[in-house]
Amino acid sequence: MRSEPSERIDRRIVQVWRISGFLEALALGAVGIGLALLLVKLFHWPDWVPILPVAAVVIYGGLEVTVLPQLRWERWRYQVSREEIYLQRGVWFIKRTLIPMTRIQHVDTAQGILMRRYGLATVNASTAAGTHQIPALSEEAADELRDRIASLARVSNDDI
Amino acid sequence: MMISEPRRLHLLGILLGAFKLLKDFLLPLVIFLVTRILQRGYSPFWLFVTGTVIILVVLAWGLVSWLRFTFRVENGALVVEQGVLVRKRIVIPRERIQAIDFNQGVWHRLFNVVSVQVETAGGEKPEAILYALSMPVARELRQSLLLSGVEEGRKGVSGAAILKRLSFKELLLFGATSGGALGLVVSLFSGAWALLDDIGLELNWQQYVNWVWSYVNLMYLILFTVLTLWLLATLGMVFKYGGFTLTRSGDKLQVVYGLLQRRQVSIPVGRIQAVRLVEGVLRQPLGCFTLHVESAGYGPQSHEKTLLWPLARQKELESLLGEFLPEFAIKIPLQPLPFKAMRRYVLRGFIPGILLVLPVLAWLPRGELALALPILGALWGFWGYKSAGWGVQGNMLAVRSRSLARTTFIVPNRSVQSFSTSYTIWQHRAGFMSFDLDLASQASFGLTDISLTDADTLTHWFGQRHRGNFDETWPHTRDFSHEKI
Repeated sequence: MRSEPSERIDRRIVQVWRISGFLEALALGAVGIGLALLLVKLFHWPDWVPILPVAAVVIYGGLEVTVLPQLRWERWRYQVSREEIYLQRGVWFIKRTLIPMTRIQHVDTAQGILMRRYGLATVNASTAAGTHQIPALSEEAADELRDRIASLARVSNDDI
Repeated sequence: MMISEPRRLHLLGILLGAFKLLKDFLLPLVIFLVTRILQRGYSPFWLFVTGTVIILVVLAWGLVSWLRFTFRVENGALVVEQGVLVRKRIVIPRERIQAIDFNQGVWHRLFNVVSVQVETAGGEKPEAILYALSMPVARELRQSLLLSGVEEGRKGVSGAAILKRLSFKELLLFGATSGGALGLVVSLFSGAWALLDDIGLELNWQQYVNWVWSYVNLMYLILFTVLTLWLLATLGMVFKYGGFTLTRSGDKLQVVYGLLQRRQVSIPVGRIQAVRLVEGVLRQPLGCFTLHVESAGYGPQSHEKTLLWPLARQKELESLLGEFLPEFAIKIPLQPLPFKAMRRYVLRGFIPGILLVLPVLAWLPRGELALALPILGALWGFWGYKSAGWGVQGNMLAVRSRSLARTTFIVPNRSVQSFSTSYTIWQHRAGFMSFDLDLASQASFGLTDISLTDADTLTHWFGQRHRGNFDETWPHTRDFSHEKI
């Protein structure tokens, strides 16, 4: 089997994933508990029903705050060579993707609010079939990588 | 011949524009008329005046939008200017055009006029629609747009046009095996059901059945209904796909079909990303398949537009591809999945079924019948395993799989936009991997549970082209016609 891609993404993303995972769990939990309470009040479901969403959110949120970001970061790898972009990701379902440089139509960098606070950016590389992300690099590294991919992605004659 | 001066559409365009406006505003118009009549009563004079005003407004709109609509070919690009309230200018470079379709509705056919749709990669809708062009102008336009630089470089190669017509027998068989009847039956029954419910007819099932039973033999009734619907569906398909012809002239494929609404699809061969063979559940036992092409101009929704040939027998495949798409006519031996993968496929069908059925078994008396579901699931999984296979020959890959219909993709290396291998930890422990690849047509396909070495082979196959140690010039100079298919 081909060896994994060489580069890791920025370590600080673990913290970003923790925070966003926590917020996500909170939001999901609020919706779930609201729904459950509604069922209890209006439709007289048994009183223990709201425990279910609470439990689900605690488990999910717990994982998202503790082990998952670390595992995700450890698995996430990328490698940009002259011919292709090579990605690996996934905690349970591990996926490796090859994107030839000649297939890349455009690249851009993007930052959310949280990412900006940590000085991180995402590189998006688009082909005719869809967009591939390298989720967390330091701003300088992301800019540098974006420009490198752009110059490598030669204009090819065979169109799509 | 080029159309460099701005041109207007055929005069029929005025009428068609008016119709379109009428159709778009039909619902609010009807609501307005009905409320007005309900409130103030009906008077013939008022109706006459309103009717005239509406017709005049609509015709005026048709005229103005027709006047504002111009098109031309300028510097190798199609330029369309249109719009009454918002003016729009569309420029489509020739190199970006993936396909050009002609459509004829009944009105179009009366005046020998076509609606021309220009498709580029991506997007759901056609990039530009010239909704009324006289036939000669449309042909001229297509001629000047579909000549790409690539084709000009190899004029000598393009020979005379070859043409193939679908025989009536094949058309009938295609319609009869379309499975459209099943859809009709389901929609009709569910429709009738909902209707009866709406009316408030409390259906007492058993009584109803008994009643029918006492008068006619129910079996005959069902048989009769199904047969009628099936005939109707077949007839529908015959009208839709009647007169199907496939032509190849030079580097251009053209498909024409339809008895009432006539469609004409032109695709440059260089724009074809992959070929897809679909063997429907009803067609496979007869040894028949349907041939589709993947083109970036048509997304996954436009199923019918990518139809290249409706029905052929398995043994005709070689000659069909050899004649019309020699670029794809390569014999690729398929290898099955490893024997060890069979268990995994069967379980993948069985487990969801049993999970669904467990509550039924636990709570309902006489729930044993529900056990059929996981068994069917297991059979389905086994079927999928038996059907799956893949093979590599030169720069071509063939992948066969089944969800319901058995589908075989034949794809050249250069069309693959990205290639992924993936595995879960369990899967990896068992020595398996999955792969999938994406095409510009937004199609995505692959197989689950190939061996690790095979995954390597495929990764290598994919790497060949873009690392530059493979025949770079596919398909423009390589001639496959001498190869055995």
